[in-house]
Amino acid sequence: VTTARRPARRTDLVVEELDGELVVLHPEDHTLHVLDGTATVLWKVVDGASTIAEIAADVSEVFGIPLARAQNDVGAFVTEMDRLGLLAT
Amino acid sequence: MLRAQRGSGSRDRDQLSDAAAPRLPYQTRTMQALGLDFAVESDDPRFIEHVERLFVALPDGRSPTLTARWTASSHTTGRVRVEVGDALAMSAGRPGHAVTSLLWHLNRAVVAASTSRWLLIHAAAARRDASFVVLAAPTESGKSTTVAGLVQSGWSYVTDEMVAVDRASLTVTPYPRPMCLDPGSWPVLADLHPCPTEYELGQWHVPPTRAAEPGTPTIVVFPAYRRGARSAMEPIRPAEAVRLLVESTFGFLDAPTANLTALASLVRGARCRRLVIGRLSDAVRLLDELVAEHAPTPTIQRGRNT
Repeated sequence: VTTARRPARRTDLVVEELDGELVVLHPEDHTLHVLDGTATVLWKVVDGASTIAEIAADVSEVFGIPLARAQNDVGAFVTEMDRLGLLAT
Repeated sequence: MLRAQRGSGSRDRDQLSDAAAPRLPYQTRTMQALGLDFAVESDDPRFIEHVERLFVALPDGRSPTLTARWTASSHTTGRVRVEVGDALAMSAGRPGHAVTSLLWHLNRAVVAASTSRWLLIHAAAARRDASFVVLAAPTESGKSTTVAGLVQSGWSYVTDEMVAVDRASLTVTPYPRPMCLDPGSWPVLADLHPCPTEYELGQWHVPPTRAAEPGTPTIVVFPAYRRGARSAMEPIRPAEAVRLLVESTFGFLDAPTANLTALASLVRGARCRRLVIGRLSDAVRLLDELVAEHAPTPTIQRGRNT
């Protein structure tokens, strides 16, 4: 994924938040996904407004981790969400 | 409860019967199992008495939408024929398998008749005062054994098979079918040994003396029997609890959004635990302790006597 991409969640998912974690139901294949706390934080910021680079910069600052690691983590998250079909195309 | 209605059945039952299925001389009352009203008929009055005992905790139904028929297919060999609705459950089975077969087919019919009205979770449940525990797990995980242990310990019986949750209010309607206990649990539940009958073979069917009142789950437990393990209970993350409940929900995809929303609401209002069951008595004690931890503290209010 390129760092200039502005990833966005699908809007047709069924999502339930419980104690800082998300249960996400895919509307077409009906698979169920549980997002842990870290993934839930990232999920909430992939709203189509920010680039991966901007999200990574925020993650680096908020969690106090090196920018390169944050870029890796956010990139991996977006790749995984793409694979699961949970992001808008 | 035995009704020998030879030629004098109710109009409803007459309407149900058709020319291809002449009525048998003995019938149970019409019973209600969640969304299914059913009756059993037979040419064996003792079998009907037995079924009435097994289902004593089910409320009366109105007119049966399903009738199970139990007949002797061969008087010389003692083989029996069981039909449940239009399905032939056993054509020449041993009488000892009749109740197990009847219960299995009945469960299927109850699910089919109830999924639109309730969220149905493959789970056992019991209630003690305001505490309402749901034990959700696949077959062979110890649900029936655990709920039987709870009943022995003074809890009220809700079900050992299917928890029916109203999606809006989260109220559970009991489905108090007989507890079905496999041989592995017999040694630890010896007090529940039912009177032996020719209709049971390989499984105990223990009728509850009464059913619990409807209630809202306060505890959701995911039990797993592990031979020789030390019984232990630990919290489970709510999101993971929802995932496991989805796996245990009958027909989840029939109404996925409504079902997921209801399950999430149910979990938000309950404490969720994993329970490893080694010894039944220890598992029951752990559940009793969990209830006691959160029981309201009694208070004395002075000056309120009337």
